[in-house]
Amino acid sequence: MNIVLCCAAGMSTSLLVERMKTAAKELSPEANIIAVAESEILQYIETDDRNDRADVIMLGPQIRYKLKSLKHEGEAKGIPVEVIPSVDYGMINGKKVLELALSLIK
Amino acid sequence: MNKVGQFLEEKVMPVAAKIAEQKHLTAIRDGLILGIPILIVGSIILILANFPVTGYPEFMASIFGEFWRQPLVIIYDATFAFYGVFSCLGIAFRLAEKYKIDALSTAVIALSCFVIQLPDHHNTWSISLSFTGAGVLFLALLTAIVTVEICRLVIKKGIVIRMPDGVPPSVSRSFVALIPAAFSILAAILIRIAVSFTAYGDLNSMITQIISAPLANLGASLFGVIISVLMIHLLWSLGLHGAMIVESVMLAIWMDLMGKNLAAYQAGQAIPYVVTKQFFDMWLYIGGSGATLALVCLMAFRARSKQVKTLGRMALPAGIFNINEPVIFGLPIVMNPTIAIPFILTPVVLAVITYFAMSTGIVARPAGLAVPWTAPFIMSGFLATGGKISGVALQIFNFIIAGLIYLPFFSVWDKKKLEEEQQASTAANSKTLSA
Repeated sequence: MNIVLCCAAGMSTSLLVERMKTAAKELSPEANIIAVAESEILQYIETDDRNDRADVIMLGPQIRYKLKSLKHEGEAKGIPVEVIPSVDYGMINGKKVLELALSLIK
Repeated sequence: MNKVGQFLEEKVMPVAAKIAEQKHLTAIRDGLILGIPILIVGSIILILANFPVTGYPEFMASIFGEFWRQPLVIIYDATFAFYGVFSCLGIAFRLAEKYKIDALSTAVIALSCFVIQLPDHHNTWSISLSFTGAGVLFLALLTAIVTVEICRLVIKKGIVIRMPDGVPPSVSRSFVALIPAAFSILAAILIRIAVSFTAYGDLNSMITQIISAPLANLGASLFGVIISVLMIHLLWSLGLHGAMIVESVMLAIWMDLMGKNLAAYQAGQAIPYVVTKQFFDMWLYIGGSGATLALVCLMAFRARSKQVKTLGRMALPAGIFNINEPVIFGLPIVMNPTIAIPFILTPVVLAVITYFAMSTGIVARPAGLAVPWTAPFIMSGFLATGGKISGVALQIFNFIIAGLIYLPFFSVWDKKKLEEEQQASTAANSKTLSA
């Protein structure tokens, strides 16, 4: 299961990824959580390889203007796309964001 | 504020989305980013080759022999001197990807068309490395875009060679690119021949005079800087990635200026421009957009509110590397006028200070070296100026100025948060008493 976090350069979300991984040890050990740059996100939607394709995409609130178009791209492949709530993003609340991601996949 | 915020969100979001989603602009920005890691390697090499310490060249020569610079020059040629090539490939790739046509083969066609436009080196039918680097950025990006558009048009019109069933997909894919390649290359050579009859002589000179020179003047001016900085921080205070949106338009200009500075630095000439990508990254965004490292330090060491202090301590390590989303969304700065005012004001003030300090020559200008924006300040100012202490001194000065601007606003916010915390605890206490 691939949880893909996306922000401008993939830098600030990588902070959150670390916290999410810690939370995932209990909640969802099989989750593979990564942070990617906005310019690379299409690859995780387009690819036909199930191992590489995102199962859920979470956008940093600072690029929420991408939501509409990415949601459209994601829907075609059945990938849910959502914006990370800015409070959880700011406080780097890994557990809450992971819970949200898992609830979107189901 | 909420009403104003909502109004701004409704008005600004669609415009921001339009710019940030515009296919050509984003392809240019993302394509230019492709070559940056290679530029960073090249910059380190260039600093090693020209380390500004007396006796350094002699010292290196005594260890590695008199040709010690040779390997470094080769690396420079293979990195910086090909930035135009990398950008052409990158931009064409990203644009083709957005159009959902075969990105790699389209990028290679674009590269071929780019080479067609390169001027002859003194009529020797050879290509000079001076026409493959950052100096031809606008030629690279225009050929990339035009080529991808031609390819897309050809494919859309259905002019492709289709292979019968049974032919391996990779074979048929190579034929799919054949017709678009033929059309693009034919168009490229016709353009080259046509331009050769004009006074410009070649396409690069034409683009330089018509497009890049006026854009460079705009991007290098204090006016252009202040407008860009205001836009970036207004967008951030709404919680949108301002730099990402504004750079869709401005990055090509700032990278072009950076290339021009580097060429001068390489040649040992005076650095022509103050404003490059590093002008912003190194002297304005100390700690991230809004120069928030000073604010984070205030939070971590001066805050009396527990919440503010905890966030400051948490955000400090990332802040040293110029990442500040935890403060922007956590404090928050977004939709919070108390902190948004200094957040917008500080970088504008720093821009004016830095611009005057550098244009008057008090402080060394950025030498066109690609220092990553994540490099901590002090170190980054030293590297970006090619090893000048004045660059570091200005960073420290700017950091202090940022602290002074943030201080009164920070105090107000800290006090407000402290009062909230005290009220919450008295409320909790009285509850336990009454229970």
